[in-house]
Amino acid sequence: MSVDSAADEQAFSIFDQAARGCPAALSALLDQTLTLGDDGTVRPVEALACAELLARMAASHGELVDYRRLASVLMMRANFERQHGSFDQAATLDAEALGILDIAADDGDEMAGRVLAEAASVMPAAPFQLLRLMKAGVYDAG
Amino acid sequence: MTPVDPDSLVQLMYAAIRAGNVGDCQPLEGLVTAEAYARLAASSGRPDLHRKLAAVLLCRAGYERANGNYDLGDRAEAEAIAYIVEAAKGQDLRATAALRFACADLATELLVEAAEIISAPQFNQHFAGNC
Repeated sequence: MSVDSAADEQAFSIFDQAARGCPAALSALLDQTLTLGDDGTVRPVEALACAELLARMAASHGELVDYRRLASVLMMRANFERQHGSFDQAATLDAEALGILDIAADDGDEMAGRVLAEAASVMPAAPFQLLRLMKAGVYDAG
Repeated sequence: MTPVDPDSLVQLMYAAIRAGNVGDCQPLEGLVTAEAYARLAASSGRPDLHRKLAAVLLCRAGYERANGNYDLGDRAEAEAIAYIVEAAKGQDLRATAALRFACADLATELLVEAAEIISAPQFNQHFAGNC
């Protein structure tokens, strides 16, 4: 394995910035991770697990756009789990994504509100039921 | 921008490994997440965190080999050795001990690959900038 190209140097630089908590660098790494998953360079589960982590770190800075991004990654992850028969895990991930969008919509994010309304017509009922339990504080993740 | 505390990332790394071990997530998912946290933590340049990243990479190598992905296993192991060398250069005594074992046990090809990684200019610049 060689690390001798300008692209690798740039990757190191973005990674360093991400490690220092820069939201833009975390977002750029997230894009790269999803691309690597899409083109088959890494396995989908690898790309999605890593993308989720990066999206969570970026969202921890509190920017609306990063919240939306996290919700979208969680939904992608849920789709992947559903395709592989992990329906419970898919419902949990979707419920978390809906919860994030719900909070964003409550804070006045119209786009999150629109996505939520659309999700109600295309998503199974389980995530919405889970979200209700989560909001009521009676959901046991174990 | 809030700076990230490397020790917090290490705690998250341990949590990810634990989640994979006890079945809260798939083992590969736990390892990938732990590796990402370990890489972010190791970017701080601390020798002990290089050693921890190496440990996660060795776990990953074991997982890949157990699942028949020998190339991926070899690559992860070679990278782990490169990080153990970095940690040893930073006077991490545990890494020095681990390196002695590694040199005795590992295949020559892996050590050669690790040496190539270490001698690459970007690898050196990266660590020179951080340490």
